[in-house]
Amino acid sequence: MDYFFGFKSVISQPEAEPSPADTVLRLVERVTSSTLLEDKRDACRAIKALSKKYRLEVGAHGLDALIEVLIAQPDLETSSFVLETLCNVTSSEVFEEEGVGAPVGEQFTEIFLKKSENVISVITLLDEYDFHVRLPAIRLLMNLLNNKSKEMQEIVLACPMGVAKLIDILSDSRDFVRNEALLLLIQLTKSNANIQNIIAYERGFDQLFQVVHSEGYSDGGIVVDDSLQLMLNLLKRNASNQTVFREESCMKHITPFFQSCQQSEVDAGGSWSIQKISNVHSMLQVVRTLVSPANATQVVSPAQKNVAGCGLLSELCALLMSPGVPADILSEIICTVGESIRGCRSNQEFFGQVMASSSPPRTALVVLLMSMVNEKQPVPLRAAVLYCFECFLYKNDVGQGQIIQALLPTSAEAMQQISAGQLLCGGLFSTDCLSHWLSSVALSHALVSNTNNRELLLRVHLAIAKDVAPVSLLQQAFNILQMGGKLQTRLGILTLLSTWLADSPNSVAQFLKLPNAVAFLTALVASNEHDDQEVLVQSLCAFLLGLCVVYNNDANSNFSKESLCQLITKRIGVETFVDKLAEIAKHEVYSKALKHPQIRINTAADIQFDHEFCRLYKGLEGVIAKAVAPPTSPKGAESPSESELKAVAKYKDVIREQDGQIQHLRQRLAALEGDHIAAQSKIEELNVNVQHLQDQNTLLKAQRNNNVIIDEGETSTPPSESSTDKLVKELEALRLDNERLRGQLEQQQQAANHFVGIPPANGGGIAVEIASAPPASIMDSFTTHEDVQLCSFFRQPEPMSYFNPLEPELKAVQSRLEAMETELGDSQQRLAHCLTANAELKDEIERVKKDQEDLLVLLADQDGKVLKYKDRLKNLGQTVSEDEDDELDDGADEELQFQIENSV
Amino acid sequence: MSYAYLFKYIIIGDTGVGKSCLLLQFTDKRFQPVHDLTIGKQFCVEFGARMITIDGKQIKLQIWDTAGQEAFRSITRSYYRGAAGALLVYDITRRDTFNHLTTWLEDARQHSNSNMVIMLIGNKSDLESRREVKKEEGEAFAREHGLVFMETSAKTAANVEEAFINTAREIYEKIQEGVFDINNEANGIKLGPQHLPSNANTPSGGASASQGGACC
Repeated sequence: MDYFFGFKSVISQPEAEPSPADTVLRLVERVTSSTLLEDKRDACRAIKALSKKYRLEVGAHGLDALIEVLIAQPDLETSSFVLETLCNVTSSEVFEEEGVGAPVGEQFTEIFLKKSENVISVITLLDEYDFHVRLPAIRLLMNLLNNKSKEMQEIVLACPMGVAKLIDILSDSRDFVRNEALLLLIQLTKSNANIQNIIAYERGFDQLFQVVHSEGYSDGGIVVDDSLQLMLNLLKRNASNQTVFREESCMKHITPFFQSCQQSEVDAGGSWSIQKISNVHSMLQVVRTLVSPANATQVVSPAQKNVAGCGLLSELCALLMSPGVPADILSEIICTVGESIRGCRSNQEFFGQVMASSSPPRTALVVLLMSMVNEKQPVPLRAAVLYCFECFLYKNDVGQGQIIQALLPTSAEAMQQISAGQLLCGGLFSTDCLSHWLSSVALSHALVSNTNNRELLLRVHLAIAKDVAPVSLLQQAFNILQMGGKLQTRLGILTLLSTWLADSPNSVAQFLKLPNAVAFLTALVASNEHDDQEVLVQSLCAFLLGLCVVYNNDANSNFSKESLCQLITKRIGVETFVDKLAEIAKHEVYSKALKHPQIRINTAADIQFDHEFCRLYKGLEGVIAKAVAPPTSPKGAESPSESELKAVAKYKDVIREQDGQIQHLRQRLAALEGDHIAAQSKIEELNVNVQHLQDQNTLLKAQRNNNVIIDEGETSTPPSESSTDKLVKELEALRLDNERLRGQLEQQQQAANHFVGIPPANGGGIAVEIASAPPASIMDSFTTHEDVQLCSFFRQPEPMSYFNPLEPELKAVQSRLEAMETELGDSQQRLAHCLTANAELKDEIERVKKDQEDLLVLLADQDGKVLKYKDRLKNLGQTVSEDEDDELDDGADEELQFQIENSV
Repeated sequence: MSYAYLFKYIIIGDTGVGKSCLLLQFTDKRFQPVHDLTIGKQFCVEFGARMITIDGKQIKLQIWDTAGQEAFRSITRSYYRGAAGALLVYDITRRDTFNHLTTWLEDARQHSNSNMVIMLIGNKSDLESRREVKKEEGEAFAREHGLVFMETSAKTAANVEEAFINTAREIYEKIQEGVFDINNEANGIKLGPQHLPSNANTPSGGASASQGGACC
């Protein structure tokens, strides 16, 4: 509350507070520092109040603080104040206080857009239904979009559901909010296909038609127009959305729109309101966008069928014939109808049968053509009729035929009824040059890509006056051309003649028969006037003359192809001719006309070229230039003499022959080249194969070598065998070596043993022997250097020291021998002892043997007795068990064992 | 042609997995081997439509083919809300496209309405020799996240019909169960004209303008 007074004083006495910047600063500080929500809200309210007048200060000092509040979203009221403040700050309109050329709004927009979160928080606020939040939020987005369209579009696209939220507002029940959203969407969809697609996806068309419907169709206010503008944005150059439009069968919503504009027109009984004109115009634009020839054919033709299918075409035709429709709307309707039928046979047929409510009954086509040749009608309307007529005849040979047929003298009823063709021929006689142009161009469209009609038209004769014999149309057209007249007249006639003669040798022949025709054209092309318009006529004449050359069947000996070429070379000069011919293409109107089938005009003087003619010219210009400027005559202007011609003819033959040969050779060459290539590729293939095989081979080898180590049992190949052989051999050699070495070793050992094994007594002898021979004398006997080593061998072992080690050994052996001798004595004693013991034992054995024999006899006796007793027992009837038998056996065994032991 | 229902679908997934080819195969029954990126054209989103029959009822499918590139992710997000079904496509010959499924699914779940039917599609099943993702892996992923799964080939047309039609059937069943609010067109479902009351031809209220009249 305390603060609030301060704020009041600011407002009531601005003079007392000289610096608004200070005030703003104080308020901004309050916004940032105050913890009380109410305080914050009041500060925001105050800033908002100041933001209109001092927006530079508010923006400069407060933008960050405001954005902070915006993102925090403390409560709706505060958000509302912030949004409104930001609206003022970013507004693109320049206030009085500010100097001119200071784009304050744009600068602040730039700062605001630096963080896309800022925009996203504004979009989030759109969820609030509160009027005071939603509306300023929309307006703020609008300001941002106006200032930085591209950046905003990107940010909105990146924001999830961003576009969807905006579309949702279209169904806001408060019209005011909805309309604002509509304006925002129009701005948002400008040249951004992605946003356009999302809106179409989110049922944008449905919603817009709902708005159009609820606002009362054509009689609605500007909101209808806005909706249609948005629809146009969605559809223009967006094939995908056009498909969606068709798939969602939106076309049917357009029909009631046009129905409504007819009904209300009857009620009001007067002129249309400006808004209505605008609404209808926009809706016609929508339809034309869908069927525009600039679209791809696969999009256009279903759209055209759609237009007819939902009754829109008949509705438009009805509107066309109804009175009271403003002229500019009428022209637009005519164009719309034209584009709806262009190249679509069923629609063209439908249109051809539409009748106007006039007496006598006439077809709508005739009525339209009547207004075309009526010079009192506005120019755009007349041009629109021509366009519609063109569309009617486009790819419609039946329609073209009908137009021409009606002009032929054979059809009697044609006299009673005015036909389209008659109207056009009438137009040629009118005094109005625009009528000339329109009629001749219209007539030319009956001939486009229709050779049959070109020849039929030759038969058409016109009765100019009652007492004059009828002249052919061709003659008449040429007459008009000869008479000079205005530029448009001549351009129109030349267009007609060019279309007529192109691709039609008969027409060319007829034309060349006309007296003066060639001379006239040549004179015009050769003339040296440099007037801009005159140059255009000259260029067209050159084109016409060129057509006479290209489509010449040499029927007229005076003007055969060759002689015309000569004429051009002689009278005009090839270069001049080609230059003149190219003049059309250099003209601005030509490129304009080539772009779009519809004639776009503001004033009558603008009309110069027709689209179809430009296409014809584009296709044939090169052909003519080639035909007229033959590459074979380098001499140019000088005409060759007869002998030269003969020579040339001869050479020509030769050349022709050579040509044939060359052709033949070329073919052969081509064939051979083909063969060559095939062969090369084969070679290459084989090379690759070889390489491949080699690789495989080496690979296998490597594998095999590995295998040999692991598994010798596998297929052994020479190299591996040899290697093992080698090893075996080596081994053998080593073994031999070893053997040899062993032998050596043994020898040496023997030698050593020899030395060692010599009895000590003999060793002394040797030593004496060696010692007796004086070492010096031995040394002297060795003279050669090689024997030095041997000498050293003899010298080194001193005899005494050599045998010294043997002496202790000898002693040891002697002592051992003594020990063994004593042992032997011992053993001999033991042996004697043993021998005596042995004798004793032998005696004992003898004795035991005797005992044993005694026992055996006793045992035999016993056995006999036992058997006897057994028999007696058996006889007595007693059973004798086996055991007893066994016992007997055992007893025998024991006896036997005993015997054996003893024997051992 | 009149229909009982209209379902809106979107096709999502990494770039080059064959989304546009699937759409073309389903709507036009043809295969275009030349890979022209959806974004290479003027638009990020292509559109196709076809009529199918489920339970004897004519159902119109409107299919929106999105651009898979990362740069257009935010634009694709705008399409989730209005869709009744989504085909989430990966390429069985490219492991990374399978690995990215989680991101796609998160995106879809976050921005779509909760009832949106998502079908997982492993495309290019004709390229068995170059397969990097096993069918079982796809099945496991689908099971884990509650999706319907199918392997298709836009080239041979194998399972393509089934993929779109099964998704439609699932949506249709949800409608029968009353899960979907069919009066809210923001869900990607629209009632056909013959389902409306007979006086729809004479529009009186605001709503009928969007639905009334016979189809042409």
